[in-house]
Amino acid sequence: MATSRDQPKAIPFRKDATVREFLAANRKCSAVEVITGYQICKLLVLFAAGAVFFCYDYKLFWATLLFGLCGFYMAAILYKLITVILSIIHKPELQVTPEELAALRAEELPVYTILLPMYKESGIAEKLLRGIDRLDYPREKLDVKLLLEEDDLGTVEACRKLNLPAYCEVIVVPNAFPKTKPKACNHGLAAARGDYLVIYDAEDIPEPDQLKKAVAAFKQSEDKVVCLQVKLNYYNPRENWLTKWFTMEYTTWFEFFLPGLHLLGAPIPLGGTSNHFRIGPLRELGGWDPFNVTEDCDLGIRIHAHGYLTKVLDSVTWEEANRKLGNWIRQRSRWVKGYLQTHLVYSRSNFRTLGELGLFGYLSFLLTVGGLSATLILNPIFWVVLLLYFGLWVGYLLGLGVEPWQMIYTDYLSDIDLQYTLWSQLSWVFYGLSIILFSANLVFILINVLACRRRGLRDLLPAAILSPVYWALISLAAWKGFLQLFFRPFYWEKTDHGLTEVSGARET
Amino acid sequence: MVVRLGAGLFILIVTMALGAGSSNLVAEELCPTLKIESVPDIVFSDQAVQVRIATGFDREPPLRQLRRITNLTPAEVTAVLTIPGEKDTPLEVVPSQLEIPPYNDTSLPLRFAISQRYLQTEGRIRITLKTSYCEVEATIALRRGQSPGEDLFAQGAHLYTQDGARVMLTVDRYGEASYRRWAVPKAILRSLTLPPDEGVVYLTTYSNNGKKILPAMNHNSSSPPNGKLGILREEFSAAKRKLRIIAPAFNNNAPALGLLAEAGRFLPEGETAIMIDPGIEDILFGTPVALYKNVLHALVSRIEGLYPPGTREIFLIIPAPPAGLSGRGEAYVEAATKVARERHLSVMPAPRNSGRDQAFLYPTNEARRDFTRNLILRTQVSSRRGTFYLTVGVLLVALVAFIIVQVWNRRRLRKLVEFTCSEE
Repeated sequence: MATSRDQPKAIPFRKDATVREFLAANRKCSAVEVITGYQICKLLVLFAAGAVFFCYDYKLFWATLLFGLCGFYMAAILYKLITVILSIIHKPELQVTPEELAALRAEELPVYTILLPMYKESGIAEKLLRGIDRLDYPREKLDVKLLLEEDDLGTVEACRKLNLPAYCEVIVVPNAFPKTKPKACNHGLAAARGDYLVIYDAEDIPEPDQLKKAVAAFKQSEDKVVCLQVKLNYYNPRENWLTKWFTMEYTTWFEFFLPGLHLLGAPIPLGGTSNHFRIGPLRELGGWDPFNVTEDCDLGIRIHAHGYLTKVLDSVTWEEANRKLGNWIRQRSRWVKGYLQTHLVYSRSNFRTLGELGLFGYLSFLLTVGGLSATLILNPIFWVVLLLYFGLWVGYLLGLGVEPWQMIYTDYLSDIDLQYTLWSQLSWVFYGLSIILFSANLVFILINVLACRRRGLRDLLPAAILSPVYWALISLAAWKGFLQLFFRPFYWEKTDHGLTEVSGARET
Repeated sequence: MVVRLGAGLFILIVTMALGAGSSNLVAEELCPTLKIESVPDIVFSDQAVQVRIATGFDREPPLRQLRRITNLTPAEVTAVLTIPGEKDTPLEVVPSQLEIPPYNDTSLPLRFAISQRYLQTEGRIRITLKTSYCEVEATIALRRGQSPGEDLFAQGAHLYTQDGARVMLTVDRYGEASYRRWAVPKAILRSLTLPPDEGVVYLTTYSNNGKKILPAMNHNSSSPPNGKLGILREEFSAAKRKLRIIAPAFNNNAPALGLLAEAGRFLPEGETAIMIDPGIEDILFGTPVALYKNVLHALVSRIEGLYPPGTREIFLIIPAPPAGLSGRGEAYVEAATKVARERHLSVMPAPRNSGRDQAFLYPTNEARRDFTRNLILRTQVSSRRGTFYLTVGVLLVALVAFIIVQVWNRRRLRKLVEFTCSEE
């Protein structure tokens, strides 16, 4: 790990042609403007309508709002559950058999570009190269780009000291605004020589035959398939509770959810690394949005919007699960912020997005990108409200002079049904809310249990049962990301790697 | 056949023998009486009304008339609603068998529906019993809950007008939905337009013949403070706040009804808050809970009718059942709470000097003093208005600050982007 002493005090920002080119071609679908004037107007109209509705009938307003949110929340959870179940039943991932791999002749293999963006990771540069070296692919067909940042002198120096093989090239990305990974990737894309391209993170350990599998899978697939998402998983699941939960979540996402989306033909929000691309269509799409902090998710949606497809390939890249809470929260907050950015980008013109993604694709996008983030942001609000409500019950049972709201107030004296009083209506809402929350938590636990079974991690079952705690942590990070969207939208929350004490190579 | 003819002949002979020469005597000398036996004191405007009248003859029948029964046809009993300025409206009476026996009074249950249109008005219902030789009538005064007038008085457990007519108060069912319409702006407007005079009207039952004691309490400041009203006066005076106490003559059949009768006799004098303190007398004297609840509904309705809509805040003080009557008192507490909830009243618990288990906590007067100070705080319009302005101010400042930061941030980021994208 580089220390602050390795860093220059202040390197002035430079101009960057890749950013200029991307914006020139793709400004409309870039997150460079977090929210457009038109969107602000739409939001103001929405707020005004909400305020008028609230003034007109505050109870109806709350009931409508809460039931609407609950409906959306439940739809997002159920969609995930259905997708997971479908993927378990159908196993839709692209499979490449050993025979197909053996049939690939080395001289016919295309040049493969590997992008390795690194920032302040001088300590794991050597390990990274060892991982690349383990790849089963002809060295002369490899085009490895180490993407380093100009202001990260420590890593630049560490890489220079290494005896880099000929297929490795160091690209120093100029210190330009915004300082994000997608911008570095665009520099790599500009210099790429391969027919295919893949991104790995510094700590990744891909399966050795992954590149060959990708080549075989691309050959089997139609031309519309421009991206293959490989499954990501962690090699240090048992390090602490956080890594256990994180492993279950990743297993759910990459083993079940993304294959389910693949099966349904829905847009796939890509995972951060191990995305294999055909380089031509990738260049046609303009590469990654340098202003989007989840450029992978954005690119996944853009691929679908342009009529291309993403499929899931049955191969695994092993990564290091974050074991430190602060580090994990930073990473997770960036994800939520990026998902919200992506949602805002594609909500600029809902009709255009609807036309590009199709009705099902659009609904799926709403539920997986915006909906997922919304559920995470809503969670704490729902929990606090429910806790307050249950607090009333506890207070009532302890005789503290408070009374929980009943669902129906029946006037036993005159048989008048008072179910329309404010408190009873709110009770209906809160009971509904609690049912939804508990169901969602049950679904969450169920999916995590399935994930444990899939990976054969039965000893993680207690963690699966306690996964609502993890959900609370995710919500905390989600709020951080949500608030950051207003003040530091392009800030890249750097995730530190190399914190694990587990040897990745041995584990995998 | 022969047996039947024989029996019929026998009855004819006996009847003729009993009534020989006396049928004209009944027509000339006996006249039925009519009095209202029961009528709902308070009805909601969507309810059907059932009235029970008692009838009989005004005197003993002559000898040998013992078994005579006068049958009345439905057309002979009529109910007419008279509304000033309008044509009389005959009400559809649903009669049961109408028989007037010679001796004991007979209750005749009459049911008639008064359409909602008429329940929104004031008038008189005249029930007439007409026979071929006599016509009698009874009257019910139909009054609106919002404006029952100032001529009412409570006697027994009923309300009457000064001319002795039983009163039936019609109270509108509180429209929850209509209350909610624009409730938020109305509440804001109310808090901004409440008059600056922060006086309080305190309407309560007082078992020591309020009519006699109150003038002394209100106007003779030299008299020592006495009980809860004394403490109220003392504390309000110390806080330099205006207080007007209305404690009507005590009615031990239904104390709350006294409040209702009296409610018409005070007019708003600029006070911003009305305190309704039904007290514990109804619990002590066992007022029927349904009546108690309806009286509270009518009372609130009446008070709301005295002021322009929404310009006064009405507080209902929930009674604290005395030790030993907590079981019975619970129903009254429940009723008062429900009225407050249904009508969106602010509530305050009555002063208590003991806990729920009736264990003694602190002296009664201390409890009353705490209650009064709390009441003074709760009715301080200026502080509430201040809180409102403060909240709005803080929200506005936060909003403006947020917008400024956002605008600044957008400009900063835009400049950075422009710089990055500019040609070399």
